[in-house]
Amino acid sequence: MSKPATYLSGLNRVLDAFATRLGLGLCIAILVAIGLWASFEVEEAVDNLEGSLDFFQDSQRRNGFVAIGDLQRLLIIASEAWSNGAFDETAKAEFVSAVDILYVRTDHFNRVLQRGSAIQSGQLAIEVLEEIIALADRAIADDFTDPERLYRDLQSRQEMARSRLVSFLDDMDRLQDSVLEDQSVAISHQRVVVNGSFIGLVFIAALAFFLLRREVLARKAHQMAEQEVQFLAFFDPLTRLANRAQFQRRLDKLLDSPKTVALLLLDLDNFKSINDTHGHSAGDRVLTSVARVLDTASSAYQGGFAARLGGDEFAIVLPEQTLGEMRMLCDSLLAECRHDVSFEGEVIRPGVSIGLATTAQIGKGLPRDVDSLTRHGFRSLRGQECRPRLL
Amino acid sequence: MKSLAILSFVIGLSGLPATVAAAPKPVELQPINHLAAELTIVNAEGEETVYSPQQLETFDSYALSTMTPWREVAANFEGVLLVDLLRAHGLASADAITVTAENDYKTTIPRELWESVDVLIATRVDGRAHTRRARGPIQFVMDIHEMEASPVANEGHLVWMAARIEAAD
Repeated sequence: MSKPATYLSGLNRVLDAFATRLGLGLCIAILVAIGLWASFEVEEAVDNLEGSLDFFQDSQRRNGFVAIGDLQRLLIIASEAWSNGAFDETAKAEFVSAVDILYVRTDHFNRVLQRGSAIQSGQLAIEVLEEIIALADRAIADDFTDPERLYRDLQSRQEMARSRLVSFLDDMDRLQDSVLEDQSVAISHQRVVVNGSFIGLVFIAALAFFLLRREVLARKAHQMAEQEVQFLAFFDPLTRLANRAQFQRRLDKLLDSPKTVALLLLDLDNFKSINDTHGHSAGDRVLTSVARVLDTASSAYQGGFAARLGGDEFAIVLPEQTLGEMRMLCDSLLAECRHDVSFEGEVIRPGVSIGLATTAQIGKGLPRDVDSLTRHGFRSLRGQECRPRLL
Repeated sequence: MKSLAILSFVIGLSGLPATVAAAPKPVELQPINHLAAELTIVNAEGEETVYSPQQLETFDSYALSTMTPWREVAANFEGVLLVDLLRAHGLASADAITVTAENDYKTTIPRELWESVDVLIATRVDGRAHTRRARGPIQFVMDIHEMEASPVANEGHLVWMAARIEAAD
């Protein structure tokens, strides 16, 4: 066997093994597994994306920027008061208000940070902001006795806080870039997952469809073979008339009933000579032509049927008619069967002989069975008893 | 038998989840000393009206007990309803308002919000004047469950140190 043929045979064996309920079940299980895997991957990617959203929420960055502004406001008030030599009542109120705003900002910033990224630079910035608030609170408690010192202390810490807030904002930028990069990689991965799943699903679906079709075709072929076997058991494959077995069975059944039955036995004249002269294909053509005539004739009677008993012998079983009617039928059959048959440009004129037997003829002395009737029919056909051959 | 059924009903009610939204209740406020603060309302014609916390409390007052994103324990907020203030200045039918805080924070509140959720402009917390460090003296408050359930309300609408209300552009 050539290599491709070997591979094909091996592939067929594998496909045959899969073209079963188990194989199809396996395909469906793989389909479900691919679907679940893809779903799990997408779910995980969405979770990661949701987890990284904190880095992009404006509140963290915004708090960093606003805290710088709040600090600046505080420092400006302290600077103006130092320039003026003291805090007047308005400056005091503005300063208290600015510290309160910074306090709430710091508290809010801290909460947002704890809820989100908890970046260390953010924590360090909050520590300095809290120091500034403590410093400002002490100044308020001391009723602003030393504006210069307050300004200088605030300025030095403001620079530190500003520096840490800028570091925090830089860290946020870096984290956002990193998260974006990770998400970009995750999206590429998702693309592979989705494409892979799609290709896998298409492949498995196509395989499942192919296997299903293969199984259906195999069942169909099996069913057809069974039908063929069934047909061959009861019909002649060449003429498609009932075969001897079915003839026997049906006639036997008819004879079991009280109905009267007529049996016509037909024999092709010189059939051997047709075969020898024109070949077996020509003989087959003659057989099918005669069979068609007999089938048509028998179908005209309720319960009538034609059969091929073997070789060139045929039979027609009918409900018994009057002798005149039977004679007319025999004449008609003789005439119909003598029609020319064309085969490969040659004309063959077949002839038939007919023997007739009826249940009435076999009388009461003989058993009413298939053998008696057919024997009587054959005797009629051979001209040994009854009437001579109808020619 | 009937009393048993009523008892079961009461027990059942007491077992309801604590997420049931609470509506602000009308309340009579006794005068107290407030921190210096101002809330400026700008009507559609551009006219400004400035309210101190005391002046705000001349409107019908309400009390609302709720947590906020910054309070794990519910506090009793008292103040006036935003919708009353907006009606008084012809802003209730505006598509949206812009609220500005003392620290220059700004947010836009759509009409759908004050028409669907009770927004309290709180001037007192637990009977005392609202302080800046507690996110006062004038703070926008909503019942936290109602806010979470609302498709339009969010934390950004809980303006603290509120200083100005005007129609949004």
